[in-house]
Amino acid sequence: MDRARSMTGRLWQRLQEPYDIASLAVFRILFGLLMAGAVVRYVQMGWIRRFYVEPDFHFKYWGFEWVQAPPTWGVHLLFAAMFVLALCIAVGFFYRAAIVAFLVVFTYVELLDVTNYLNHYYQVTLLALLLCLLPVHRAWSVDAWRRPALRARTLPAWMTWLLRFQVGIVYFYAGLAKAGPDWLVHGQPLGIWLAARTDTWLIGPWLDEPWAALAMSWAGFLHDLLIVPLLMWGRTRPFAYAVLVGFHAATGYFFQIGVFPFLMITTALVFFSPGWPRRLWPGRLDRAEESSSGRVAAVASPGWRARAGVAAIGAYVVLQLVVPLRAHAYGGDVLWHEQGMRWSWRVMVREKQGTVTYSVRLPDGRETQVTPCKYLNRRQEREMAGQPDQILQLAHRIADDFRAQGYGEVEVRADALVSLNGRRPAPLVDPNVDLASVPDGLAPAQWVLPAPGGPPAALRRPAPRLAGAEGVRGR
Amino acid sequence: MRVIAGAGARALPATLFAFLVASCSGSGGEDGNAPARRAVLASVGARAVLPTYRAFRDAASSLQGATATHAASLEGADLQAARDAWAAAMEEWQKAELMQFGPAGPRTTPGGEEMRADIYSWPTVSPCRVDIETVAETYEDEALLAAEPVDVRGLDALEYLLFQEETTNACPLTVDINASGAWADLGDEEVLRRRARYAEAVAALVAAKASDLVEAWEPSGGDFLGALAGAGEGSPVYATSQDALNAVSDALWYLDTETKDMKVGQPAGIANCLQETCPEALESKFARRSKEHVVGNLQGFALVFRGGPDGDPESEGFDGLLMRLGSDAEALAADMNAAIDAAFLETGGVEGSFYDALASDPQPVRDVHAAVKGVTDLLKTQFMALLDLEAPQRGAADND
Repeated sequence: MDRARSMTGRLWQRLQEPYDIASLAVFRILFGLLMAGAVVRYVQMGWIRRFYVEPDFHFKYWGFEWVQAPPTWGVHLLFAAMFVLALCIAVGFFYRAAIVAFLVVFTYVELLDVTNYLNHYYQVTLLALLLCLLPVHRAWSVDAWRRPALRARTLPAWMTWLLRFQVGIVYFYAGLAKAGPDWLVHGQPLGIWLAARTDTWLIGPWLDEPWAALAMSWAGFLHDLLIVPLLMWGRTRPFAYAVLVGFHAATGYFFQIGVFPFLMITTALVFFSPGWPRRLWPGRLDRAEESSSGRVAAVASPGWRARAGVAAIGAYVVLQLVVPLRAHAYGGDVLWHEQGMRWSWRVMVREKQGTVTYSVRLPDGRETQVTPCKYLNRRQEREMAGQPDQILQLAHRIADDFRAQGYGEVEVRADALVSLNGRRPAPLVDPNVDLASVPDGLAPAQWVLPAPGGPPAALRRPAPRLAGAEGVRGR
Repeated sequence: MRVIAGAGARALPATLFAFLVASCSGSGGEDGNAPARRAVLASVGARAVLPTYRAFRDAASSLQGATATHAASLEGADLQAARDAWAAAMEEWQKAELMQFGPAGPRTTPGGEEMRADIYSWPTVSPCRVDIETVAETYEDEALLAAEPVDVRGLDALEYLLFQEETTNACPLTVDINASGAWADLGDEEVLRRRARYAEAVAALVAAKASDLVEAWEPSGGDFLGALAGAGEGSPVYATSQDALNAVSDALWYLDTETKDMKVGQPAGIANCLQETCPEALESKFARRSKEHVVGNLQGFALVFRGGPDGDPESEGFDGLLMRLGSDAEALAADMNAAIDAAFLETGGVEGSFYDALASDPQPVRDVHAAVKGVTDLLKTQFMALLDLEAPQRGAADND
């Protein structure tokens, strides 16, 4: 009992140990700048209109159906606000208000349409949530400049470790997600993707070699699993970080993954020793903080508030560890049925192409087909075609529309064919099930059919074509 | 140990040099995906697209002559000759509908000049607008007519002008040509005379656009053919062979949305139609050649997918590319070719026109829909997956 108490005490001491604030201040600055850049990119690409204004129908997250899209001017206003707030975060101007408002606005925009879900947007939400708790504006910020009493040279160690956890968990689960036969044995879907990039300068001609896909699959797997321990160990850290930069630069070059590489490259800096920015610019940065008050008091035994705080953070950590694992509770292949896919850091592990047609049966027996393009743009349609919960949502919307037109209770069935990692297309949902009568929810979806068996497509490198070779049509 | 390290250090530049030499020469040069994809692009351009455009240009030229003859004589035999010439031109153009990339494609796509809409604007059609222009005699000024919206100066307007038997108009009574009595004042003979003259003017515009389109592709002209075949190798339009392949595959999706859903599904009462059938949704309402149009679309699809006409041993299409990628892709190529053949068979099996079939027994038209769906299901799933293609108009969007 005493030993346990002593260990808890030591842990408390370690968590409260003063760490240089420099690393977290830089984290804040880079995070803010990156988010501002991401908003600018969204505007440049015309995505605000295409993703949030043009679609007549938005897919909702379960439990967040009440989140409604604002009018066009409102969407633009939200993105303008995000840009300003991101800059406020970067310079530390009314930081506390800015980061909370940014979290609210960013999360609201993300909740508008499930088809916009990306793992790195989820990571941004979580990082913003954590930054709401951390006083990372106590150095190198307008707030600290205006209010000397706010300034601090150190922050408790747990703050750095919490951010390290948040960054590290992405790599860990992304690595774990790759531990499957498609990725490690067959080199898919990387094989498909790399074969389409053989115009790449210098290395292009090798990218469609089967060994290249397999080698890069294993490299990605090992990178994701090992990068965090290697970043934690001082002796390997600089090399690991160089590898990390190279890895993200390569994936950013080959695949359109937006700010994801930049987000990971910048946030992974949190693994360096907390004072690394001061060593980068010795003297100047130190002088700027000479008036710091060093606000971390001597470590005392935790009071009830501290205990509650520890419990809350502990619960958050456990939640982050458990949520990505929930897919295993559903059984089957998560890449196929998608239950538990979101928020589980399964990053770039599947190539899915599908087509969906709905059949509507009226109470009088008449039948008609409805194509998703009546409701969705191509981007939404592509995302929806491989995701059963979205197929279900659109089925409900179609039923609602027929009901509103006075046709009564209609039955809606879906003919959904999907190819996973190049396999022959197979039906994703049971075409005999009336989806209009199936409630949305978290329970295992019995109406989703099992994943097709067998290995993914095996692609070989095309050999030179023989002149006059007979085709499959027997020409 | 030091000796080994020293040898390794000396070997490193040599290894790097060998790597660079090998990469500069390509891992084989003529093999690999990029050259294979460029071979498909070159074949599609030279053996499918350009011959189709040339054939259409020639047919459009004949159509121009036939409509001029009819406008001059107003004889029934000349009208029939003009109708036949329209049908012949349309046969070629329906193949070209599946080739809407480059100059024929939308301006939002690489190299797009929207030339297609100037030639055939369906489903944007408006017989009423054509009647309004008939009253206004806009067609007497070529420049004025060319500046009018596309739905009054393409093959679709021509169909109405040549095949509409009635001398009534397609506008509601509230429209000015009816409310003012301008249409009624023309009389039957004048309506027929003006329509013949209008058809001649439209045919001239279409023929000119057809020549422009061929010129944009010809190596001696705009050389879009070179831009396509040289994708990823200094092409001014396509940075990579994959970009170009994606543009070509985008055009193939016409068979899904336009052919399957709009031209067959809706009239057959399968999609977006709550009646037994919806014949008013057929593409060719006046010439009643909707079935032939679908056949043309399938021919265009087959031409692009197979990289040229059947029997041409030099053609290299998507099917050939798939065959070279291994047994899984080879099976897909065989499946798609079989599905295309089945769609041809079902369409050819419809007795008479789609109009007739829908009136008597719509099932054969529904079978056409199912057969075309057999092609598009494969196109939209495994085909897109194996070649890492993106759906058209998806636009750039991030992944992860």
